[in-house]
Amino acid sequence: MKNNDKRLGLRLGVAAVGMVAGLADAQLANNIAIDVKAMSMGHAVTADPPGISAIHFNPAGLAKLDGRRMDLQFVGADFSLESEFSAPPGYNVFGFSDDPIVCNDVPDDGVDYCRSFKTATSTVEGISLYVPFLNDTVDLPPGPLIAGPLPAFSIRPAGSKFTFATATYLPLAAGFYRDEDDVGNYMGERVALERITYLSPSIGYKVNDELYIGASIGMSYQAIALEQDFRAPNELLGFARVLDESICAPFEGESNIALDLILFGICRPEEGLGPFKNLASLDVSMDQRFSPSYNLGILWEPSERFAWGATWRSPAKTHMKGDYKITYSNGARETINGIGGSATGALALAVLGIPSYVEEEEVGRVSMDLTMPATFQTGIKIKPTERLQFNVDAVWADYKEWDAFNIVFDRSSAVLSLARLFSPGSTPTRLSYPLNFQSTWNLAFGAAYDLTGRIQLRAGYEPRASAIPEDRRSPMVPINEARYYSLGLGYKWDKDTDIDLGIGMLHSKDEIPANTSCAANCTGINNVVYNPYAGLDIKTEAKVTMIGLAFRTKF
Amino acid sequence: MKMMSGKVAVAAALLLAQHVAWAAESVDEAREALQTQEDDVTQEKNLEEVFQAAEKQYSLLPSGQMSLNFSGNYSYYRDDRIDIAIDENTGGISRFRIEQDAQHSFSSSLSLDYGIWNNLTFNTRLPVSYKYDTQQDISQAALGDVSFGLRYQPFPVRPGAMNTTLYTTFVTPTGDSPYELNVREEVSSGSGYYSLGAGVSVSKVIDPVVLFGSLGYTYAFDVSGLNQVRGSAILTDVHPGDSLNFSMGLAYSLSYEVSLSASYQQSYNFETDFVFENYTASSEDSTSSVVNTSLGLRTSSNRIINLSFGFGLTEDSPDVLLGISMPIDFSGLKPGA
Repeated sequence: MKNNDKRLGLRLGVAAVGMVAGLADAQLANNIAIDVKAMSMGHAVTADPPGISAIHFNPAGLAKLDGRRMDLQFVGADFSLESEFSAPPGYNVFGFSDDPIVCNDVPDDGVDYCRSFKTATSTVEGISLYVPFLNDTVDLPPGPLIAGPLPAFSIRPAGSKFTFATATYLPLAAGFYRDEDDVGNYMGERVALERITYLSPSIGYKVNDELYIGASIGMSYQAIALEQDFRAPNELLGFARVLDESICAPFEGESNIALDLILFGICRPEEGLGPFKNLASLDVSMDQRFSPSYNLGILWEPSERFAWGATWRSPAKTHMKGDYKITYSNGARETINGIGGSATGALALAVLGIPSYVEEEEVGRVSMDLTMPATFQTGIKIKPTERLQFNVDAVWADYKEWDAFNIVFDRSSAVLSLARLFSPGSTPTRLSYPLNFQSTWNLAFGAAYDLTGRIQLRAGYEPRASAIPEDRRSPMVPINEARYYSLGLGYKWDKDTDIDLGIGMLHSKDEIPANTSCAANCTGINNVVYNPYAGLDIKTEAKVTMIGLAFRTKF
Repeated sequence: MKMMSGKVAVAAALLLAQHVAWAAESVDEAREALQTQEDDVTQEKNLEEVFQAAEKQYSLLPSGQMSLNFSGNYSYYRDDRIDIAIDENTGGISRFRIEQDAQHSFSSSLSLDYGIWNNLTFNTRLPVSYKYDTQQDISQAALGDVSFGLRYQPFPVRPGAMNTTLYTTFVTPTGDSPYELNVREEVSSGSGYYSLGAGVSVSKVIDPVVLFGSLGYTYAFDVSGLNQVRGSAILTDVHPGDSLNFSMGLAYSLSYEVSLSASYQQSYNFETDFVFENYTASSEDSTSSVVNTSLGLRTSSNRIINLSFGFGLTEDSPDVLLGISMPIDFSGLKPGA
């Protein structure tokens, strides 16, 4: 039973880091929804930077902007994340298969196995946002998230070779909430992730008529918030249920010293543990208000027909910090407190350095260092005819940087004292969560056609590579290998004013058969990483639809 | 009885240790107080006002005008403290260690001034900082405390007469609060509390010298609802001490282009109370003072670049201070320019 509890603590401890999986996935939204024109050209715009958004895509492009300019962008995004859970033949955890997620039977019907299985579906209800300074997550009513107007300004003094600019944009904004009873809540009931670049002083320099260079500094706000339930369907918790339902049953309601001494107090709790029960809920939010980074760019345009560009976007070291709250389930509390309440059990816990009593809630401060990966992007623009234009880019993102996430707690808790016994690299106040991400390369394609002197039609396609290895996929935000399609329209309102419209869709579909990803459904008691759907088949589908409107003018 | 006295000794040792710890705390406080004084009345401001004084009735920004200033500062702070605990019974030393502290901080800030009336100027300041603590090997870039202020001149400037400016500053705790971080792992970039300051600054031209001085008081608002681990205790509330500050100095104009100035600044911080879950502790009041010298170079008719150098005089002050400040000309941003 001691082991059992250690395992519980471990699960909770690992659970505390489960959130980073979500962060990781969503983070793969590199380049998305920053600029409407780039959105409609498949992000293949390094050789053809769009207006003042050149700050992100290639700051050298700023040198081509003259006078005083202003861009206002409105971006809307809608997330649809669906997961399906089903039990493969022979599904059981230590003999139990009445997992309420996939079983139609009435709960607690006294039978250990499931008579009729079902396929469960998890969806998201709507979008959640983490509000800076208010430090709270708000749920938006169902419908797309609309951001805007996102302003950008540039200026080139008359006769100067320098262009100065700044823009406000969202390199990352994602978030959702699920229904309270949703089966996907073990992978995030409420999640919000954002990186907001609020100020980006930039400079573009025109070296000569063919060559431009540029640089920008981004000052960003970064935040992550997560609410999540935890469970651990494995053999140890299966064994705990056997203890609770079979071995302890004859002693129910009885507690005496002799029994407690022999059984380490395991039969003391009124509610025990089980593989399919919620063990604890976690509520974490962390942010950093100032996180600097820089972009460098070069653009070579020897003729109207051809251009080449390259951009380096620096890594950004962030140090996010905030609050955590762990709410233990009744079963988990009663079990630890029951053991702690018996003389032999308390002794055993003390030997292991584990508190013999847990409160219903534990609160404190938490922090995490996270390096936003560097990216490199290079591409060309070709105009085979007067009206037609093709762009091709190659994009590299250094997700290899994310080999592990380290989370630091300001105090030691029941969870951490237990987790440290199992997780290498962890201490009573530090938790290490292995990720083993990989860096990615992918191509991106864009095309534009001038229908008339005023109207330009655009399209884009980007097959995005997955930074998440096969054995680390999860249904939290399942964006692995993804396809991005887009369409757009540019309208020249007058000599100085352009309006861009764009729509893009990112689609990622995946199957995670039981026991193939140890960030979701691995079985076995030796899995120290979080597997709330152990032994289940999972199908995931993510669709992100974006629309945008950009208004670009001189003032 | 023997046991009792043993307890007393332990308690005394604890108190002493705490006392030292709070001394360290107040050092930080004082240092921060000194740093935030930059927003109030700096020599640069005084100098700018003085140089512009000849042309206008008021030396503040004319109504409707805006000016943007950039300043960069570096300071180095280093201190060794003896942490000692004495057993009251035996007189023996139960703990003796030397605590070292060394911190490099680089900060830069943008400040925006806007003339509401000819004699009323609104000011806001956005600081960012990078700190490197050599002792703990922690480095961190962070947003500082954003502040807002008003400067008001009740009387028009008359040549030869004393020029008086009233000022008020409101500081918001947008930086990383020292009371909400993990003390083992992180460094703060802000004060952690709201504060409201007010004061008066005066200057008088006695050709070719300008004398200036200021006096101010800052009220610090309490912070509650904290939950910070400090050793074995949990900090829940902080009642920061108010502070009183003054400065005086002179500027000497060597030529139309070059000026030199020297000033002395001092701030006195009243004691701060720290409320823990089980008890309350107070820090000592502290004083920090700094001598600053600066060189002002007029690079064009409306631009003065200031380079400054200073050093601290008390243990609570930074050892070295270097700074540069200059206006950012955004005439190009104005429509029609």
